[in-house]
Amino acid sequence: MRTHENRRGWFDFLVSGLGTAAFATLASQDGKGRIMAGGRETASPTVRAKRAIHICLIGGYSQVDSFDYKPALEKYHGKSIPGDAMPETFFGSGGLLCKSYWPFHQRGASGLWVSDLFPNLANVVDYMTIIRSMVADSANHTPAFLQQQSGFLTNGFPSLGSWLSFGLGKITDTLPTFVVLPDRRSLPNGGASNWGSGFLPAEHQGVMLGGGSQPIRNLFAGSDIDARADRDSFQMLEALNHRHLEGREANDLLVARLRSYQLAAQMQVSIPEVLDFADETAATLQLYGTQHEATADCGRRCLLARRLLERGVRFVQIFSGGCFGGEPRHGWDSHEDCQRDHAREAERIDRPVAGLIQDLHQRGMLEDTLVVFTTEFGRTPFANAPPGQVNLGRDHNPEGFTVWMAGGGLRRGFAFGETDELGWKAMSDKVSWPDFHATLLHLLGIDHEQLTFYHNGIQRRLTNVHGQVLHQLLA
Amino acid sequence: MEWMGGMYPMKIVSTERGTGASWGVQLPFCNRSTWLFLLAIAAPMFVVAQDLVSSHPSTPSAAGTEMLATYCVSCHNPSDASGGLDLTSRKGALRGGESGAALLVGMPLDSLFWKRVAEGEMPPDEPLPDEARKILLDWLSDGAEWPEAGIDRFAVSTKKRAGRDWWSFQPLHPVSIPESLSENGANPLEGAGGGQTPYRKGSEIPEPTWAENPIDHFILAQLNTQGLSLAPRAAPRELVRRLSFALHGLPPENSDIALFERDPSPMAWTRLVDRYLGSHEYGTRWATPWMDIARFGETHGFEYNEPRAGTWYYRDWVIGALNEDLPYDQFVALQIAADSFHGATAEAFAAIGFLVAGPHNTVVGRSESMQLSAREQEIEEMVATLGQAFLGITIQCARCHDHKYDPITTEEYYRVAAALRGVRHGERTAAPELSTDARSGLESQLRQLRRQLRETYRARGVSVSKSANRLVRSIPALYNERGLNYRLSFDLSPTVWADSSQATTDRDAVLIRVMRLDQTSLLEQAIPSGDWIAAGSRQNFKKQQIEYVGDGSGELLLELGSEEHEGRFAGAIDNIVCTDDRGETLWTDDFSPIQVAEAPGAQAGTGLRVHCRLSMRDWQSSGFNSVHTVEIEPGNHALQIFGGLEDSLPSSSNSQEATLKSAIDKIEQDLVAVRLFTILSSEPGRSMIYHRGDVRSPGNEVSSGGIAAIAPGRADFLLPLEATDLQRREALARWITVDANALLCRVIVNRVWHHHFGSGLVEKTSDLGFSGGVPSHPELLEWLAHWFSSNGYSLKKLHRLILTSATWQQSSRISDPIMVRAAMTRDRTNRFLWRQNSRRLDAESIRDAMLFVAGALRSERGGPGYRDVSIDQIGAAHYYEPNEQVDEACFRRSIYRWHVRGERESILEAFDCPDPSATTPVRNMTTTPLQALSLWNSRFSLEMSRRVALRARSLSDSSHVDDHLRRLWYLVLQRAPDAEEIALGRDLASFHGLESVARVLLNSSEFLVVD
Repeated sequence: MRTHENRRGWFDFLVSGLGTAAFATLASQDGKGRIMAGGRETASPTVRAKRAIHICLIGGYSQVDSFDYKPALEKYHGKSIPGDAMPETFFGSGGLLCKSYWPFHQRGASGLWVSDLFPNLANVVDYMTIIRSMVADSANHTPAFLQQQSGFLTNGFPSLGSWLSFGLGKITDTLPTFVVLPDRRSLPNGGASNWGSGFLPAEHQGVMLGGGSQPIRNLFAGSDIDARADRDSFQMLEALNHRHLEGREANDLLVARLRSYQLAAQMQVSIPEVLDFADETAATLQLYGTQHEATADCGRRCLLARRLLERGVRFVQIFSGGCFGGEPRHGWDSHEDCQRDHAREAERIDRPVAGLIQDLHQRGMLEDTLVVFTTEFGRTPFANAPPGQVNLGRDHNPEGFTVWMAGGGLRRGFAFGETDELGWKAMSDKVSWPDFHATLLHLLGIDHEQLTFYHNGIQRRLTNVHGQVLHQLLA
Repeated sequence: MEWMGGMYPMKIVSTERGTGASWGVQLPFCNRSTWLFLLAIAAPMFVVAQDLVSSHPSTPSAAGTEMLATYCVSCHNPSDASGGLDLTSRKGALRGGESGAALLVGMPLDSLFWKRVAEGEMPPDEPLPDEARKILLDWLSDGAEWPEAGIDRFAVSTKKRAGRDWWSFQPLHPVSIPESLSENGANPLEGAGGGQTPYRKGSEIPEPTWAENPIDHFILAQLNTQGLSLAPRAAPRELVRRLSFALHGLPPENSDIALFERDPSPMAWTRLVDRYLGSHEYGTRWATPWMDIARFGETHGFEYNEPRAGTWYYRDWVIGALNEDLPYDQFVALQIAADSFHGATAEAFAAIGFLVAGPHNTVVGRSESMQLSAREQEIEEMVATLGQAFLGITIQCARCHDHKYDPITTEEYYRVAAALRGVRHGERTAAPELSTDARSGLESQLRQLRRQLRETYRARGVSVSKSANRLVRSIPALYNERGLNYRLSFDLSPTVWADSSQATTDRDAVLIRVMRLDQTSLLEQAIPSGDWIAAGSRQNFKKQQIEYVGDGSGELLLELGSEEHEGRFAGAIDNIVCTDDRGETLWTDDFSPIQVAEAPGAQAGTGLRVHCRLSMRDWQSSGFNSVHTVEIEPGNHALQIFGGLEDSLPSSSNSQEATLKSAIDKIEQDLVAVRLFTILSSEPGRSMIYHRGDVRSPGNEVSSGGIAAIAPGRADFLLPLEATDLQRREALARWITVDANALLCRVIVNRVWHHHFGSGLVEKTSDLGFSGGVPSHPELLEWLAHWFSSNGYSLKKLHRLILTSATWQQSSRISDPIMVRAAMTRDRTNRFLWRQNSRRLDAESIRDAMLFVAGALRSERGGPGYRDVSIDQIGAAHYYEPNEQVDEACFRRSIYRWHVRGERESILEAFDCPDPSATTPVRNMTTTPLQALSLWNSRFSLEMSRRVALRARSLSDSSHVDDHLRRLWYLVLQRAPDAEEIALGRDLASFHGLESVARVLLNSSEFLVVD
């Protein structure tokens, strides 16, 4: 189906004889329904970013405890929420106001405020472009998380990574274009649907890369088949498929199948190679914190993300936290005890993510790479308790929260947008997920209104019918 | 004389087309002169939409407003007034928008409207053509008159959108079959077989030329205009393989190919098609595309993604309906309102499973606006699927604003939504249709068996009354001065407060007993757990009235408990009220706890506070589960009744007990019927139009209805605002299946065509609106749709018609490179069908074919699906991991896979089986290295390789490897290997065994790609 547009290319290739031309990619530049391809083909000279690493904090991390410094909150600590409007939280109520659990300091040359929750990230704040005025359309985890991941509040839409894979095209054939590295503890709710390709072709879906003998499912045949048998069988398959092609030269699908087996064989080499850190120096490993128990999981994944990008992967998604619920919690959803749960989660990622930024910078990769740090919504500046009461938790807050980006094309050491004096609701320069996605696509050289795919009567976009590029964030 | 076995109620007449007497097909109601007439009126229908602007109305006023309709009002209308400006009426233009009045009286050329147009600022996307600008200028100079009623921007199609005159909305009309003449005047049909026509001769019955099917005339007529023709007929083996995969999704038996090759009868092909259509594998196969459209999934999706129980009834209903060839209009109507047409039977609720087969968010938050908007999302999901599945239009696009491309208003969206507003997701128990006698017979049998079972418990010393969960309290003597009747009324919510992991079985019931103080029973009533709803709300409670007639003189005991069965929850009770004849309250109890022993927990699924181990005023409890309430509102407790007697019993090896239990199971299956995942019919509530889709901005209330552009005059269901759910859905089903709705037939005929040729006549099979484009063969689509509607909406007849056409049977392979180049130059994508499209098998067929050739495919049909995933649970969240081990119980046809949402790692997903989160009319068809890896390396593939090799060996007459190879080739590819293949196979087999060769064949293009 998807190769129609490319038929001439295949056909000409075939009549000129097998093997006389090199394949650039596996039938991927087709893009039926694709109006425009971004990235390589149409990048303007000002576009610097070619690839991205997305760190997703699952459950909603607290802006008032991390990047959104609100001195007034200390003043109002223990007081009731002003006004009598019912706050838009999950539980539909709110307790007394509660100041940050961590002290804030101005950091770096930029003097941006970051709390002691993230001491290492605080050291790289000069590379960051912070948005303090994000808003989400739901106070409910899954719809909000899906909105972050796909632009829509419901299941079934292509994930951000799939859109990028589709829009940017691939650099390498021997690694997936979009790789997902979930938290070792658990997957986000809904599992693989969070990185599914929805109605985009399956090649754009995220591929989860694990460890062990099968880092991706079915990479190897397992111990039953010895390597020699595998190789000889493969040769016979090629021979049969070539013979089958005779008299069917106009059928590009058959050529694509032949090619897919060659690429599969190459993946068997390239995937173990990228997972093997033997060529990394001790200093690098230390930078990512791979040797320490608390940071090993995230550290390995951050380092792996860099290695994947170096080898042509376009987009890597790293999750901090997994399941929304559970006991103990695997994420940032700190309804019960914000201090305890945020401290645990922050420790796991603070050094690795800061290390990633430093490493990318040292290698000159930050110039054409984006690091994106988001969460589905923030947390309330008041306790997760009935009116007039306190406890140690904070509820969901979709009305104002903080995310940041770093890297190519961005204005560094810069904060954009503001919440009210409590850090509750975004007041100026509100940024919606479609705005955020539009900006991300823009940084990668893609016009969000042009990146479309026809599905069920609609030219679908990541940004639906919304989205404004935030030019103020650009370098 | 009838044509081809008599399935077609059409007459064959001899006509004077082409040379001599050839066979032609004529619709019974349409003679030659009407053909010509119809041809004349049919042709412009498709032109209208494409080139409307070129035929200008005569008056400047009409021409001017047409320009407005074409270029301006799509952004400047009352529903979507860009810049606050509405240009559909003169009044709107004079009032203007944010930049002031658009039109100045008496000075049209100085007005803002003209300035913006003249300066090229408007329309914003593309410059106005000079001609259009001139027309507007004339119109302005002429006084800028609007039609009195304003511009109806949905009336006519423009270059940018479809109006009510769009081709697909028009009534069906008969179309004449074209004469497909080649350039030299010869009947091209005679040569279309490339010298092979007729394919088999020899019988005395003259076989109709194989390219005689009406479809072929339409296709050839089109090909002729391109200077192209049909390809030769495919070889017998290719044909039978193609047929078998097309109708069964499986490879053919070798004997089918051999028989067909040897059958000299001219009717051999038709007979084979009929035989394949008659097999139950047909429904099994064709249910798959329908499941894609129905976004059929067996977990909820979203945050918890809980498993659903009883989903498979819908799947089995679809398979059965297809095999019975249920007329398509009924097939559709029953999926919307079978309970209205057939009563509340299990079969009816199975069919309606369609409406709620999609994802469903069970975690909706506490705030009212979150709950409302979650509900609106849910309704939109149903409206969207319904519109796309049955009508091929995107009604949901009109939720926030009028449809941008099709004539569907926001009000119409909300009217369709109103028709589905009473539908909720859930489980319900429904009985099969049984006569009263049969039912009461079974019921008394059941009672007896249960009594016997209790006896066996007692016999082994299990005290039933102590194990069961019981709450007992006394009711004071109530003197009822006005009459003798008490009415005990319970606000009962069967098993509401739970997530699905705690879902009940159909065997739970709340047991209510009214006793004298000596425990003699006055009344005993079991209330089976009813519609289970995960998300709690006060509305889920239903009043159940239990009438006890007494004189009110003595104290009574009231006992609440569960029926003695398994399962976790039997129900919840909020209040008990005792009233007299006039409804006055005599006594009441609301389950307020007096002492709480533990801190409250949170209820999985709802987040509500739950209290365990508490003391309850006036009640005494017994049983293994403590008293347990949920706080449905602060301070308002509902009592939860646990089931679970048998769970708690020490297991017994008593065979009598086992026999009794299985006898009870059997009768319950026959009688108590089934628990299915289907709709819960609820009070629809008010249907407001939400401004821009925002639940915080309700507008006018609307009654249920349809879309005016479709089946004109039928869009108003004539139902009051307070119509019931049943009335609404019945009206909706009638509107969708009314004869005047031509979309119904056009859409399904096009879908079937898509599956037989790899591409629909309209490529976008769920969109026959503006964005879907125009058909490649408009007359053929029209003819087929009309034929379908006049042939009893029979899908099997439609398949037969298509499969017996020369167009379908032509080869996909072209040997002559010059011909290929010619065809590729003129029609690269084969839209005009100068050959059949060769296609890769879909995911299910790949897996099923592997099982089939390995001799491993199990024959069980229907019932709960096989599970090839393990379930991990963290709190209420569910995760589905593909099982690593190959499990023989999973060797059923893939349609029977338990179909979870969000599991994307099996071989099926690698080959583009979609996640059932949204309707999928056309699957992607990709080729990726991950596919190669899964087919080459998965345990399943390796196991199938091993088995097919074993089978080849065991079927061989000798122990010679060549013989094994020959068997293997026949099993997998239905042909003998040639010498070179034997040589290759012998080589590999000698070093690495026959299973390596089998693995190669199962990965070969020839196995996966059907010619």
